[in-house]
Amino acid sequence: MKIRKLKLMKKYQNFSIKFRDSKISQIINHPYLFLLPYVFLFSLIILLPTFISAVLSTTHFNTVQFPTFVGFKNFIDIFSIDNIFVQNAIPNTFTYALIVGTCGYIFSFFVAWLLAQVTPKVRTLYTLCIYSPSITGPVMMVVVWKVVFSGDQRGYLNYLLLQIGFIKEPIQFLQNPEILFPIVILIGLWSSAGLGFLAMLAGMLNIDKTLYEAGAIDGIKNRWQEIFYITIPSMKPQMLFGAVMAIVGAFNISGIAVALSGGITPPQYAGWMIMDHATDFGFVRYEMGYAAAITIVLFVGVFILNRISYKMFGDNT
Amino acid sequence: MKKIIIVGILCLVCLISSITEFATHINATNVESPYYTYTADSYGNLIKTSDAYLPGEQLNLVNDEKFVSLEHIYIDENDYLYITDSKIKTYVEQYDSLTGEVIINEQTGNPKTKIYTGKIIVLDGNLNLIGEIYDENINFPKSTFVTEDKIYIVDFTSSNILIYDKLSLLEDQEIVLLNTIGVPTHPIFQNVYDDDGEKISSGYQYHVENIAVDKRGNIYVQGIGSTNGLIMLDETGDFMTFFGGNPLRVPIIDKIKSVFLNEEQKEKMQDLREGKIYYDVPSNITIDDKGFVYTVTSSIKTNPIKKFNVSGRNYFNTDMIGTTDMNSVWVGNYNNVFSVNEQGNIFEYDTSGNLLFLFGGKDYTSRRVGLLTSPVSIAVNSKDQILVADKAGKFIQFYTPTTFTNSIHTAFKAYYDEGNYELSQQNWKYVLEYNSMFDYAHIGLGDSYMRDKEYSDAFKEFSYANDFDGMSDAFWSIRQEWMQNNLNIIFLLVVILVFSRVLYILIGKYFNNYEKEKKYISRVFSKFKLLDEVVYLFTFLKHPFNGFHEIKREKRVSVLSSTIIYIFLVAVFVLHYSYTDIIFLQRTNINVLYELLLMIIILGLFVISNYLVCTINDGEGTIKNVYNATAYSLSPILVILPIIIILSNFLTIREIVFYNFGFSLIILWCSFLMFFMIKDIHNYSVTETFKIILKSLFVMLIIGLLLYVINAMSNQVFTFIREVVEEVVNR
Repeated sequence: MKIRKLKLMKKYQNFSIKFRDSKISQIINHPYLFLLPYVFLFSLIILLPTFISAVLSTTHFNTVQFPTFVGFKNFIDIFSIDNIFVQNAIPNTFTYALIVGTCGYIFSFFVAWLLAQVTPKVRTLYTLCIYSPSITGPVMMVVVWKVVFSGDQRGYLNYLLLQIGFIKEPIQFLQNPEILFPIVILIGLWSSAGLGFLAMLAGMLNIDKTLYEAGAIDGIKNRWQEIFYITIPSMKPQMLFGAVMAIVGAFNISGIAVALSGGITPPQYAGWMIMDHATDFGFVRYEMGYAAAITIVLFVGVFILNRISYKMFGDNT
Repeated sequence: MKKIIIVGILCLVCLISSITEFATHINATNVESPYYTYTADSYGNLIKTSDAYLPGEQLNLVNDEKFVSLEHIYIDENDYLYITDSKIKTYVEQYDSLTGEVIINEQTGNPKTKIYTGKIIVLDGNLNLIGEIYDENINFPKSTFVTEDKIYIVDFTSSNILIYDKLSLLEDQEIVLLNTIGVPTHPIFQNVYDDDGEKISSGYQYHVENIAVDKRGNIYVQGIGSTNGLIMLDETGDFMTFFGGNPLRVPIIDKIKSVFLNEEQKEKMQDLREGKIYYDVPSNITIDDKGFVYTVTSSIKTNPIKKFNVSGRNYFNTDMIGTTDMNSVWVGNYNNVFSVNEQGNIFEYDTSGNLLFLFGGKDYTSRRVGLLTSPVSIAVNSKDQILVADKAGKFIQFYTPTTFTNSIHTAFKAYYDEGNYELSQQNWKYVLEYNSMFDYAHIGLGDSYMRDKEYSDAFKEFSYANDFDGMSDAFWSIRQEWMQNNLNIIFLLVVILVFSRVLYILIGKYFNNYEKEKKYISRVFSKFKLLDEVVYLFTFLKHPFNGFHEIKREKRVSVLSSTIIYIFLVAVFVLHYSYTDIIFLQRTNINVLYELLLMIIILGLFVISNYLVCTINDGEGTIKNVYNATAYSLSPILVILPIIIILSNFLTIREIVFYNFGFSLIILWCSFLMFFMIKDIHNYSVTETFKIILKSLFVMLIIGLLLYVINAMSNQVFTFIREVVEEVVNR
C-alpha cells in the first residue's frame, strides 16, 4: 500500500519534473502570461482606439464610405483654415484650463486639507457634498446654474441686482458672449473638486501623525510650515495624481457653454472648447477624420503638459 | 541726446508740413483758407493736413431781402435748400374776397397788409427761389424736415409740427397744409389737476426743436428739456416711446449711497438733489437712408454724436473726438457725419465715427470769409458742399471740397457702396500723394488690399498707419497662406524628429548610452567652472529652496556668474523691445535705453533698500548673497521671455492669451522666487518677510523722495555757483 503510494508519488514527481522542464510548462508558467488579461483588455479598450483614431486623423472619413488617406491635410486645415478652432477653441480652452486647472487644483488641496481637520462622520458628509458637483456632469450643472443666471428678471442674480438697484433692466447673462465665458469658468471652478480632490484627501489622511509630532519637536511654529514641510512632501504621489487629473479634466471639458446658452453653438463661440469642436465635427458633421485630428492635437497638448507636471511634482525618474 | 532727437523731429515735421502746405497751394483753387485743417491719426491726436474744404460763396440775400434770424437749413434729395428764418416779416396785401381789389387802409391811404412773422424760403440747387412758406399757423418756425412728398415744419411757440404737401409747392400752387401734430394726447404729457382745478403735477416737457422722420413716417422729436431723450411719435402723432437718451451723470458717491439707503431715504435724497442733477438733453437730430438716427448733445464732451439703430444702440465709439457745444448734425452723401460747434469748428466723421477733418474757426472781428460767428445749422448738398447757417452773421456760408477731399469721398463710396476696390485703391493712392501721413488713406488702402487678397501690401499699409488690429488681421492671412504651403513639411519634420528621439533613447538605454551622454555633458560643464555656474540656473529653477541654501552656504555661484546673468537679462530686454512683434508692443518709437534704465533703477532701488532694511532687522544675508540670489531669482525671465519674443512673431492679436500668459507666468514666478529669496537668504519667517517687503517699499519711497530733493537742491546750488562765477568774471 505504502509502496504503491510512494511509487505513485515518485511517478508524479517525475512527471512534474519532466513537465517543468518541458516547453509547454515554460510557456504556461511564463510570467508574461499573468499580464495577458490586463494587456489584452488594455489594448482592446485603450490602445487600439487611440491607435485607430491616430490612423483616422490622417484620413477623410464620413462614416459611410471607406476612409481615404489624405496625409497631414486635416492637421494643416486645423491650423490654417479653421478660424473658429484657432481663434476661439484654442484660446478658450487654454484660458479655461489655466484658470480652472490651477485654481481648481489649489482649491481641491485647500478643501481636502480643511476636511482632514474635522471628525470622520462629518467629513464623509462634507466630502459627498463637495464631490457631488463633479459627478453630475455638465448638463446637470447647467440646470442648477441656468436658474441663477437666467436672462429675465426671474433669474436669481438678475432679481438680486434689480432689488439692490444696481441695474435697471435684467442682463442677458447667457446670451452675452463677454459674460458667458466667465460664467463657464465659474461653473468649472465650482465643480473642480473631483477625483483629484478625493485622492488628495485620502493621501492627507494617510500621513503618519507622528511626523507632525516630530516636526513640532523640531521647531515647526505654525500650520503653514506644517503644510509646506510635512503635508505636501508626504503626499507627493497624490499631488501628482491631482495635477494630472486637473489638467486632463480642464482640457477635456465640453458642452457647458452650449448647454447654458441653448442652441447648437454659443453666441459668437464664447466658451467654445476644443472638445466641443471635436464633437461638432464628429457627431454633427460626421467628419470623423477631422474630428480625430482635433483630438490628436488635444492629446499632444495634454501629453506635453502632463510631462511638465511629472517633471515638477514627480520623483526624479 | 533726447533733446537733439526732439529738435530733429520738430525740424522734420516743419519741413514736411511746409511741403504739404506748398502742395495745397498748387492744387487748390486760388482761394486761401483763413483756417487750418486737422485730421486725427490712429492714436487720436490731431495733426495738420492739407485743406479739406475751401470757403466758397456766402448767401445773405434772397430776393434782395436780408435774413433776420436764421434758425435752420435743410437740403432734401432734390437738392432744394429750405431756409428757416424765425423773425423775417412778410407783408401780404389783402384782397377783398368779392371784388378782388386791394383793401385800402382808410386812415393812412396805404394798402392794408397782413404781417406774417417767420417763413421758410425754398431755393433750388442753383439758388433760384422756388417758393416761400408762411401762414397764420407758423409763428416761430424753428426747423424743417423734408421727405419725398411732405414738408414738416416745427413751430416752436405752439410746439406744433405742421405737415405740408410738397407737390403743391413744386407745382407752384398754393401750399396745402395736410396735418398738424400737436402735443401728444398720451397721459405722460398732460398736466394733472385735482378736483378744485389746482395743478398737482405737470406733464412731461414737450417743446419741439428739431425732428427727423423715418421711412415709415414715424417722427423722432428732439425737444428742449426732454430728459428721456428723443420722443418717438407715430404717423398720426401718437406717442410711441422715448428713444436714445443720454445716460444720467450720477456721481459715484450717490451710486454707492443708493445701495444702502431704503426707499424713504432715497426719496429724501432725491428731493435734496432736485435741480442739481444735470441732464444731457440732445440738441439736434438727423436720420440717414438706412434709418440710423444721429443725435448730438452739446453738453457732452466725450462722445457728443451718437448713431442709434432702431433698438437704440449707439454705434459710435465712446472715445470719439469731439467738443462741447456741438449743436448741429448732418449725414452726408457717403454716410459721413458732419457737425459744427459754437466756436465755428466744422467736424467731418466717417461712417464709424472716426474724425476725418476738423476745420474752421470763430470770427471775432475780422469778418473773413470762411470764419463763423454763431453757427446754428449745418447741411451738405449733392455736390458735397457744406452749408452752415450763421445766426449772428445772418448768412449761409458755403464750403467747397478740394480734390483731396473729393478723392477721399470717392474712395469711401467705391469701397463701401460699390465694392469697387480698384477704384478705391486709386483714390487712396491719390490722397496719399497729397498727404502721405494721412492715416485713413493708409487704412483704406490696406482694407482694399485685404479684399484683393494682397495681404503683404495690406500689412505694409496698416503698419504705416499704426493700425495694429489691421496689421494683425493681415498677418493672420499671410500666416494662413504660409501654413497652407509649408505646414506639410513641418509636420513631417516634427514626426521624424520625435520618432528618432524616442528611438535614440530606447537604443541608448539598451546600450546604456543615454546615461553616458548625460554624464559626459555634466563632466564637460564641470570642467569650465563659470559655465557650470551659469548653467546652474536651470537646476536652481527646478529646486529653488535647495538653490537658496547652496547659494548662501555652499558658494555654488560666484559674483561673476551673477553679473553674466544680469547682462543676459539686459540683453533679453533689449531683444524684447526690438524684436517682439509690434502688434503686441502696441507702441512705436520706444526708447529702449530709457525703458531699461527705468527698470534697472527701480529694481536696484528695491534690492538696495531691501538690503538696508534687512541688515537692521537681523537679516543673515550678506550683500554678495543678495546680489547672487537676486540674479538667479530673476532667471525665469531668461527662460520665458525669449520664447515669448519668438512666439509673438507668429501670433496675431486674437491669440494674445498666450502672450499674456507668458508675462503673467514671468511675474508670478519671479515674485515667488524673490519672496523666498528674501525669506531664505535672511532666514525670516513668512510674516516677517511680508513686513520686510512693506518696509522696503517704504524705504524705496523715501530714497526716491530724497533723490528728488537732492536733485532740486543741487540745481539751485549749481545756479548759485554759476551766478557767483559770472559775477566774479564780469567784475
